[in-house]
Amino acid sequence: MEHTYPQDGGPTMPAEQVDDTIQNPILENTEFRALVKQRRLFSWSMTALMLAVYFGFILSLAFIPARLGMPITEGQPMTWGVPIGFGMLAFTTLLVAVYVWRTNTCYDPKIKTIIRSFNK
Amino acid sequence: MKRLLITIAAMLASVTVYAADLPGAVQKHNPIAIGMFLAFVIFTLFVTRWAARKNNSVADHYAAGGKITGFQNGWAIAGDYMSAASLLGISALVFTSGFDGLIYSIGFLASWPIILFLIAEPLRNLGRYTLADVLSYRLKPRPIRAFSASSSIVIVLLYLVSQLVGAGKLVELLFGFDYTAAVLLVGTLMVIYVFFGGMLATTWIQIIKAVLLLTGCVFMAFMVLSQFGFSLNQLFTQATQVHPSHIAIMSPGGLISDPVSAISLGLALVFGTAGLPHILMRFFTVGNVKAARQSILYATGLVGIGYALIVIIGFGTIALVASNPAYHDASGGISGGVNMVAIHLAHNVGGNVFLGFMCAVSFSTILAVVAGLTLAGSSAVSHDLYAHALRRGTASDREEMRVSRVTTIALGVLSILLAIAFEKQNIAFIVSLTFSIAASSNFPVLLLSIYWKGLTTRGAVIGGSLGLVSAITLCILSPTVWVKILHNPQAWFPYEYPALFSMAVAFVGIFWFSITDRSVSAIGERNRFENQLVDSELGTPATWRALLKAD
Repeated sequence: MEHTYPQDGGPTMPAEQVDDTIQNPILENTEFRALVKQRRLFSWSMTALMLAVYFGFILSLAFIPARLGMPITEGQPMTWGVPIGFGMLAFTTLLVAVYVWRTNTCYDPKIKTIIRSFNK
Repeated sequence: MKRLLITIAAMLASVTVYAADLPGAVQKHNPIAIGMFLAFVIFTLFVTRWAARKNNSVADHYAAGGKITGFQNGWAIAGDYMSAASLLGISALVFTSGFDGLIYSIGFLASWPIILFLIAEPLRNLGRYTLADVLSYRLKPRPIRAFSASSSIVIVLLYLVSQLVGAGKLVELLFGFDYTAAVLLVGTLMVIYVFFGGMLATTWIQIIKAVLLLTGCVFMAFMVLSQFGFSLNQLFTQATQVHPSHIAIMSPGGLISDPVSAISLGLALVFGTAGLPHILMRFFTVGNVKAARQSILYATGLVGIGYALIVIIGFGTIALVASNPAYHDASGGISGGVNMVAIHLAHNVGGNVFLGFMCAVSFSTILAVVAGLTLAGSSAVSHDLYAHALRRGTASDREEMRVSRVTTIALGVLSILLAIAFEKQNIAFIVSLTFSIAASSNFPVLLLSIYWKGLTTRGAVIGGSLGLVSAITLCILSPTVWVKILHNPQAWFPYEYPALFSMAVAFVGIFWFSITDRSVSAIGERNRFENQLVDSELGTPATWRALLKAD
């Protein structure tokens, strides 16, 4: 976890002259590159979906509260807001489950393949 | 350790006797409640003694040696995350305004997918004990650890004080102890757990608490529903008839007063959890990244079920407590205040024994949360400030342990004193403030250190600090503090929650001070990003063998 760091200050020099970082050879691996691309796309899409649904819910509370307060059956106390609210809890858990399932079944084996080919 | 147990038992006994002597205790003493509470405390002290024997190194103390399973960690996260505010606060919120209680619980749960999708796996792969381990992978260790430890300590201390004040008031009500004695007792217990048992004791206390809390919630929700033929519709019908606002409790009410405050609170809840040091620390207690992932699935399921049950319990309090004169005091209010409605409901559905059980559960809930916070705070001081920023990694295991334990005591003393000083203050806003701070300091720096190559030490430290300071400043200038607590006529900042603005300040600050960073070290920091990417996706080569062996 420890690294050595060049001291602050001094004249700014071009990167190649001061940087002594040796690039990890795995970076050249096409499978690794593809894995990173796929996982980033998946994680950020899932994040966007969660945020869209959550803030959609919050904004509908702010702008159309009456719609959520409408009874499902006239004369009964159950409003649309109740199943939607509990549905939010279920949806959140479901999204987590989908992510874990996909990562376990799809990405974990790929990670292991890459590690095996570099683990000498 | 044995002598210590005896001392504690004696101390508890004397506190009980002392409390029994109090003339004007708020609630009549419930011997079953006190008995169950004593049984819980003694049991946790035995757990601590067992854990203390295995607590031999820094890795044990901070991370239970990485030997917690994903399933256990899921329960522990649920125990760490669901504070007494979850059970008592959300049920009280449902009691007063119905549907709005559900909105709060959704926000608290929505943070878990974000942590899993963006933070947990890189964090587990790059770090060892604290989030600063991850940040210092490519940033300058001393400034970045000083920043991260400072913001973590601010978060931990604020959260700790708010929990202790709540604990003091709760124990005062539930068991009839004097406020100061109650705060001293909770504070002393949390220091003992962490000082001797470290992460292993903390983890098991959190697991036990989560099991107790969920068992209590399942039983209570079951008993409520059984009185209404297991029909939510019938429960709601009764609740709307009893509640003064009638049918309005079934629709969104005053919680979402204006869209800006609503979004601001939402941002704090969703992103704040990903910056809470005591939550992030839990991911280092499991053996590998797969177990960390698994533990979030269990935690989300458990917390989600817990919140759903608490909302049902909340409607149960309207239907069964609000209309029952036995739970009202002479002036017509709820005895002990509105936060006690869930406790009254426990009595209504399960009699004195179950009341005692739920009192002990509420108490255990607080202990589990404050123990986790204390451990996170002391590790920020001993691991980040002392071992790395001050000693530059030359401190021995023993020295680091000693500093960690001394800090545990210092944190305990400081938070007890603050909790006693703030007894009369209404500090309910502090919990949402800690989420706002975490979302504006730790979270942006952590997120960008993982995903943005351009981040430099200068950007992280200046931008993160701006986020921290602006969250606190805006909170003080908001109507909640400036008008309601400091009694000024008008608030400088018109919204209830600062996160929308303080997060923007943090991200813009980090971005600007990073891209304008022309220092030599910044070049190396950006160049190391690619190597960090490999480790964040695959783990460090040191962990590969274990991963391959797992098949």
